[in-house]
Amino acid sequence: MDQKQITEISRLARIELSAVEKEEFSKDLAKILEAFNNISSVSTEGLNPMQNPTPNNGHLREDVVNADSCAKSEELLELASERVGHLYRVPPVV
Amino acid sequence: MSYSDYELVVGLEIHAQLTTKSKLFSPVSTEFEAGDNENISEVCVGLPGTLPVLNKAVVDQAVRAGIALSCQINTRSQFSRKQYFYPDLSKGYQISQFDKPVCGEGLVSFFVGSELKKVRIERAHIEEDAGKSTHHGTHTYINYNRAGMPLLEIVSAPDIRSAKEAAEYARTVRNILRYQGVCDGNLEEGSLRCDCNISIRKKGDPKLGTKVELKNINSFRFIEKAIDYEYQRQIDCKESQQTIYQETRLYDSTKNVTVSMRSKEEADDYRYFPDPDLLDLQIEESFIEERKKLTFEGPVQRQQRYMQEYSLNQEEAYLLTQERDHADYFESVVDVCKNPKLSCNWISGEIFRMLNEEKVEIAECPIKPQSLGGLINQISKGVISGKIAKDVFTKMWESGDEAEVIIEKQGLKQVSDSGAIEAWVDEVLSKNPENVSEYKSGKTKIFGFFVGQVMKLSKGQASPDLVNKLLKEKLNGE
Repeated sequence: MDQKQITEISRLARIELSAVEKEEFSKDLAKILEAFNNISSVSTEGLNPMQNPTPNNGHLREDVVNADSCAKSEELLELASERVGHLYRVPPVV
Repeated sequence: MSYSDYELVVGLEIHAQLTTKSKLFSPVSTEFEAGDNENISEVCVGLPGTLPVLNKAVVDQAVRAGIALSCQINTRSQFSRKQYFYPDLSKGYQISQFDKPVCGEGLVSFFVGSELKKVRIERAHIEEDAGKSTHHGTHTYINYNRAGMPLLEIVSAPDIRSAKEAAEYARTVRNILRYQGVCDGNLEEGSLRCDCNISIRKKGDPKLGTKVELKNINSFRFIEKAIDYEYQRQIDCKESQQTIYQETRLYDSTKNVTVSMRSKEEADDYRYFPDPDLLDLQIEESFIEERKKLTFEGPVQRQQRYMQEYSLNQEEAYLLTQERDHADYFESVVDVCKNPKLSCNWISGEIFRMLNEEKVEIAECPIKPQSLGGLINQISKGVISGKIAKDVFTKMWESGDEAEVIIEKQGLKQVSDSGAIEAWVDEVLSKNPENVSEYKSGKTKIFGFFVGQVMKLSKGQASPDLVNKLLKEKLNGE
């Protein structure tokens, strides 16, 4: 795992890393990747990928509005760290 | 090189909001007119521990849309997570479909001028919408009402070769979806949004050029203008040896230019993977067959049918088939009067004009198809002239009475009694001796004057054919 890959991963994850951390993490992540790469040693020829152990179709919901089964708008807004009226307020994105 | 050495290559991604009552993965209302964050739940704002449950009606509508777009319907499709970091998407990922979309390849046909154009569909997939951000300098405000709205993203192949074709393709897709009732197609409210992928290449070059994406254009006219602008810009770049970057650009409709939004260097790596919270979507063949039976004939098929079956010209057929309600109305009128040409003229003329003036939909039109057919029958049978019919039409619109009743009540029946008409003709001729001698000295152009006078005298009720015939006999015969 080179510095360039570490920099890219930290950018995607929005985590700022110092040069020392980058060095440290590149070693750790390399080990983790190596461990996962062991999976490739298993032969999967002729097998279809299985995303889920259940072969059944997922449960489908009827198209009904059931506001009672959900938290109310106000309860959800109360959880926000910042709000303006009924809007969530976040740091500027542009 | 000149401009004509280049070819424009365009593909469109259309996001159509489906018309379900509740959101894609939670039982929350999709009502557009709602207060800020009124229609949200734990699922919409992505609270930890919440799970998505797929809405049955979304599957139904996606399949019907797919059938109407002549798409292959995949019996097994899958939901994937598309990761991106933006506060309008609180989970940190959008649930979408990636390598296994619900609809595969399809085909859309439509007219551009007199040419029938075909554009292939690459895929159509279900995905959830994000929230709406508004930017206020030091902060951004988020409204999650739109988060989790069900969308069908329809991706065309890069088969479009002009800005006009692009706009017409988008219009056609909108009409197809509206015909099936799976999308209201309201561009202003954002229930239909359009991204255009645009590139240029030298004519005959099989390789595609670097593509530029234009995002979220909200009118068909702007699609056309934005693509035209972008086409010129890319050619200018090439001609002045500049690089065309793969980037996302925004169209500024007030200045009619496109401006760079983000370049590929900052492009996101979406890291798609199957969403472990959702099982594969399996659709039975029998379900697809059943939906096929429920699929309405599309606008372009109807347009072609009207041209063949009813001998309407392309423009006439196009006007009648823009909305399913209009086409249905037209067919009901033809059922009654068996006169497609007159039905077409009355609907695209008087009916559309009145609907427009009174701002009513055709469903609320005070003149029902049965009644308009009745009026047309009165004209065909020669009971009233086309001119009187316009007055009758106005009275029908106001009173809701049948044409026959109005004609009877007001004594508007066309006079085809040659004795009565002859008397009017004689009266006009004897009152205007100067005009008669003018006519006889060769100024035959004033014939129309006599016709007008006779019609006036008869209060418009004289049969124009008979008036013409008798006038000619008298003027030329004497």
